Amino acid sequence: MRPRFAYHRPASVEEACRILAAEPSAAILAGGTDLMVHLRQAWRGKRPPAVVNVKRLPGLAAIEVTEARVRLGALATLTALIEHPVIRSEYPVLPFTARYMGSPAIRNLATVGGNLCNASPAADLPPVLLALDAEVEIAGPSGTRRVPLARFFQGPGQTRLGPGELLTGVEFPRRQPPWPIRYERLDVRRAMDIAIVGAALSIHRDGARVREARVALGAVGPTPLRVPDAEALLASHGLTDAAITRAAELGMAAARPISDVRASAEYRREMIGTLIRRGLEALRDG
Amino acid sequence: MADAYPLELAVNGRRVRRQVPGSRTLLEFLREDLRLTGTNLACDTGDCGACTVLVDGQPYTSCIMLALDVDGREVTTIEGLAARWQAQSGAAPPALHPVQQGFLDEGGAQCGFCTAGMVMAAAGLLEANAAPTATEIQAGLEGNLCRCTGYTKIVTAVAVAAERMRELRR
Repeated sequence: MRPRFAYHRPASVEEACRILAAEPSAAILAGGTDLMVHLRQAWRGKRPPAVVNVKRLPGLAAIEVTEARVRLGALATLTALIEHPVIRSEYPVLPFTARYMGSPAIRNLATVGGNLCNASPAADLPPVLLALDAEVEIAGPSGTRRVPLARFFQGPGQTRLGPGELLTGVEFPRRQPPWPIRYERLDVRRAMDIAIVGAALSIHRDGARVREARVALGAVGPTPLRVPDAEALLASHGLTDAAITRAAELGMAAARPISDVRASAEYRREMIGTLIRRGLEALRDG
Repeated sequence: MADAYPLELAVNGRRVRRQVPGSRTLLEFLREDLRLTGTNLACDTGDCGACTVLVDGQPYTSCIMLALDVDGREVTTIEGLAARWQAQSGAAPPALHPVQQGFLDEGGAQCGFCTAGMVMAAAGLLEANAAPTATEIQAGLEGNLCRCTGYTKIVTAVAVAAERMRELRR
């Protein structure tokens, strides 16, 4: 059983921010797939934090595509991400990644915003959204601000959200045509599992020449991270065998993995190199 | 901040109105308030699928949802699944949902503890995909654990049910 918790159900983003400002320890409930478990496991027999249910706030579940941007509302579910026609056709990496997460029933609940705000170092969407140059939109007492996703994560379970602030969406530029991107993940089970390590790789070609690259990693440090020196190397050298090998080495060097029940730090470091190499080779060949 | 909030929804075709505390899960509401104990409590963390119910025809793990979050929606539990099928297909009572019949005919259940959730997940899958491949059936049931059967007969039961539903709808 979960302990009974104080419950708030704000009707607007503004009201949610007011409540969160007044109760900085309150937990935000969106899909609940992490929080409801956490309330049961970590707060058993204790006085739990108040819960602010934002799940039914109007407008935050929308996925909006304009000529220049793609915006995922914070409350968009993983199922919605899988089913959205433009996401499916232009960003199949997002449905591909979402299908790794949970089960159909979990994906009907779990939200994009929750996956970001839960700030698990092993979360699957952050590396992909980092490689898409995403930024998050945050509502708060003094209005709305935008933060590059790369600066949003502060540590395990820690984000840049301040008192009274609520993540309302995540946006990334809609490139035409979309830059090729892949998400490579290592895990033990096909379903209901958490990544041992994950890597998102993207390149932008101009003709045959690689102009830009993105290398974003998950589960190899306290936060998801980009590897700027690997990106710069790929942008200047292209997808040669030597550059791919060097980019994988740079990714391994940037990794700060821990040992835990899923894998040792040494194994994670080795495997992140393998995933980077695998993803870049697939981009080269695909 | 209120202690309890009004909740109005349809459960197995019946309209239900209650005052419900904010912290009450949908599973607690179904089992304890409505005495619909066919939906099982097992892991209580969304990992095993034993508590799966349909909300507007799609599968959800009711143990990690708040009851208040299904306000205005249509919930179907294992107790209402046969009637849901009868309403969809015109089959006469007491016809079971083809997934239930398939589990019976193919031996898809052993101890039975996962079965209600497994059947609901399969029924939800077939509402979205009338002709799933074996791989799609496995993916549809990936959130439902069974510690007895080894899953083979469950996947067969769902495939048989899908085939029967397509025939009956022709």
